[in-house]
Amino acid sequence: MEKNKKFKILIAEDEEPLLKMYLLKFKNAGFDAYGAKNGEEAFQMAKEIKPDIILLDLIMPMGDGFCILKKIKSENHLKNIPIIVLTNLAQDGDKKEALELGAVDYLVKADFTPAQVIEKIKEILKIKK
Amino acid sequence: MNIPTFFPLLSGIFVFFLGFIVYFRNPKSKINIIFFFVCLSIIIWLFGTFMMFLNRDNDPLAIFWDRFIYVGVVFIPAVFYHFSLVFSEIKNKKLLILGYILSSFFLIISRTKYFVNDLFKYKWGVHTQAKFFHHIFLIYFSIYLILSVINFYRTYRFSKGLKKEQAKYVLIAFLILIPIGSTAYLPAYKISIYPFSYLSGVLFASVIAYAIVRHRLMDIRIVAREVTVYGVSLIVSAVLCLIGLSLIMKYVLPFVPFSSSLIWLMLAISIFGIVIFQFVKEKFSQFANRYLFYPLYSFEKTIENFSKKLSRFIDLNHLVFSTTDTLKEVFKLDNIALILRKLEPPKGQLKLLGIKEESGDTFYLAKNIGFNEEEISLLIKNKFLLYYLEKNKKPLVSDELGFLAEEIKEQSLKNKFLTIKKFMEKMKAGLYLPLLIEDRLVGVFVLGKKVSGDAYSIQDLNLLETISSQIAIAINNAQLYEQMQRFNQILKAKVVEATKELINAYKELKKLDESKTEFLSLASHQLRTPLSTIKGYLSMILEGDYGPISEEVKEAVKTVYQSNERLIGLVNDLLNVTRIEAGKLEYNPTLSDLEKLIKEVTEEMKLPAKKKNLKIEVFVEKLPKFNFDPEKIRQVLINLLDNAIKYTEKGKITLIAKTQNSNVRVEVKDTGIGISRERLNSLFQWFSRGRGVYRLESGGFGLGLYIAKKIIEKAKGKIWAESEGEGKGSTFIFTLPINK
Repeated sequence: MEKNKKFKILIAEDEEPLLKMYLLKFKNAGFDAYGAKNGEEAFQMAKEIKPDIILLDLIMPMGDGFCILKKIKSENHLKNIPIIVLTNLAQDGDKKEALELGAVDYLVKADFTPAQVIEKIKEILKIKK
Repeated sequence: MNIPTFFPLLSGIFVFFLGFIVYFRNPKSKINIIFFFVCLSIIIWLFGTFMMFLNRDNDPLAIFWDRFIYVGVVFIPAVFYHFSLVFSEIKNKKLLILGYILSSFFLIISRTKYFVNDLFKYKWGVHTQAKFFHHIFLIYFSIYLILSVINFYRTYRFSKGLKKEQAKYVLIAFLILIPIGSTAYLPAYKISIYPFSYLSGVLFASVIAYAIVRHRLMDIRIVAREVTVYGVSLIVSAVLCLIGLSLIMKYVLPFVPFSSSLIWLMLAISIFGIVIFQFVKEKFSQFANRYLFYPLYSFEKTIENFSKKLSRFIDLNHLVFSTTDTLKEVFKLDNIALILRKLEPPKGQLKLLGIKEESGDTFYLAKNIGFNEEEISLLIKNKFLLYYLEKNKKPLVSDELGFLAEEIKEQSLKNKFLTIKKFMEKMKAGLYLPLLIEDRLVGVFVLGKKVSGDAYSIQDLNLLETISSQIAIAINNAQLYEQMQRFNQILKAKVVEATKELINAYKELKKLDESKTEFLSLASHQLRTPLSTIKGYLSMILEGDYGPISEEVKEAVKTVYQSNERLIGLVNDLLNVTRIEAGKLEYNPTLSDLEKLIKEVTEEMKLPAKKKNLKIEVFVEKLPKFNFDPEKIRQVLINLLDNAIKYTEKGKITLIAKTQNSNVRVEVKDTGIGISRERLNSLFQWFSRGRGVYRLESGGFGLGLYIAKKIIEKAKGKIWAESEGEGKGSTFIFTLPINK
């Protein structure tokens, strides 16, 4: 990947303060960050902007994370976009399901600072530090 | 030769068999011995008479046989009197001895012409004429026989029950024998009379035999049967021989010269007679056994058979069938019934199982062959009868009920017995056999009358008494077994019912549990959302995303950040415990790098350690990659390091990781407050924190070690703590198997 390319990140998060926080942090980190406030919006935006990576909350109005995950993975031109589930649901079952549906990682929001999330994103996108 | 010639022979044969068999069946019994002599004296009289009749044309021989007759006749008064004493259980030695002396005297005199002499031949026979001593003898004869009859009569008059009945027949037998038999003296006084007196022997033997069969006289019931078999067989054989002989005399003899060939002929007839007798006896015995009386059984064998049968069946129905069938076979009965008492259930057992106790009669008809069921049901209702059987414990024979009633003076009681008697007669019951366990009546066998018409003998009663206790026990066991099985079935049904309820309760609980887990999961999600917002913003403030901040502000934000971290930890612990308790703790091993994990965690923990001026030293050997759940082990490492930091005020924390056999061993050592020996074991339980720790740190639920233990157990490893004691630091160690 090009070193200077601006990566597009789509964050699906219904909790406004969190969404604002992540958007700020990702922009500060040099990403093109987009936010979606519900499942449906996230799906539409994913189709429009074709992000390099998607951060997906699980509990959201209008299509929960699992639904959106399934939908994106069933779209041919979207299915290769890596999706990190970023949620506060910490049940083993949920994690297992998300990974089975094709998520590349499963992060519990309370356990990671935005900076740590960026580390994970970089790891996945293989961006050299 | 005319027919009356054979009267004495016929009578003689009957009496002969009766006397000999009575004697040989029980040679030790006094009454049997005396009865034998009674018979012997009669036999001598009858046989001698037969011979005398045969030789009526030969005077010296006729006189000889008549003198032979008196060998028996002179003893008749003494032995008859003797028998009457023994039978009546009376003692009168003087008269008895006098009798024998007189008989002996007349025995001697009878050899002389002063007793009998000269022949009197009449139409049907011949007799010597009575002389002087004969007249005196007749006086003696009459007195002693009258005395004998008086003894029999007194026995009849004053005894009770069976004895009275026996005495009746003995009296009848002698009253037939004496007057009819005595007419045989008439020709001695030149009075010609048809010789029916000689048939008195047949009548006498028949009456005695009847008393033996029906009333167990001398208890040789078997004798009567053998007398019948032998007597009838002999008569039939004799008749056949006589027919053969008369045919030979008519058709063969006229053509054969009277020579030795006649002797051969007689011999052949005799052999023929013996063969015929054997054949007739066998055939008649078979016939009689089938139609006249039931076959004889062996006492021991019957008991043995019963024991075998009783031990074979535990099932009540089989047992009832088998016992009634066997009794029916042994005694050759048409009718038999078994009444059983319902088994009383142990107190409270029915109630416990919620069964309504049955009411009504405690006895029921278990089996009935041939009796009228209505009559049986009346029997079950006769409380007095059942009470009597329970108290008396012995078989109740219908033939004896009348005597029993006679003995009773109290009218109401007498009536009760008479009612039972009538009742037994009406239903044609021969015997009631009580079945007892200890003193409790558990059942009654109702036996019909024997098809043969025979009475129940003492042997029968002994047999019945012996087997009744065995039957009672077997039936009781079978009833207990049946009851147990019934309870078992009820219990099974109850268990099925209870299991259903349990399953439903379990489903309900499971639902509740799922709801609880869901609620906790959602609650922790809801709790985490604001906590992660705080965490994120604080971290960004510290990282300068909102512009530069002063050192003071930075310190304050850091403190808030740490508190927030603790809150997040608490929520995680709560959720973890919930999962563990619900049995839903998952452990997903993947090929992971423990070395790297340790470095990451220790790096993370350096910050809180540094705040307390504690150093974390890490010594990690080169570890192989192996299968473990990195997230769960990370949690364990964080918990252990967090505890070490929490409970250490100064010094350092050391983490050592190395391979040991096929395990990885990780030690987290601190120089903190240490743990007392007593506390070491309870450390890994819920809400267990070292004593005094509240002085140092109050945060946390004390769930960390509990969760760590559960995770390590799930990973099939071990976790424990070591400490030299309070104030001497502690070491927490866990091992993990190296699964590749």
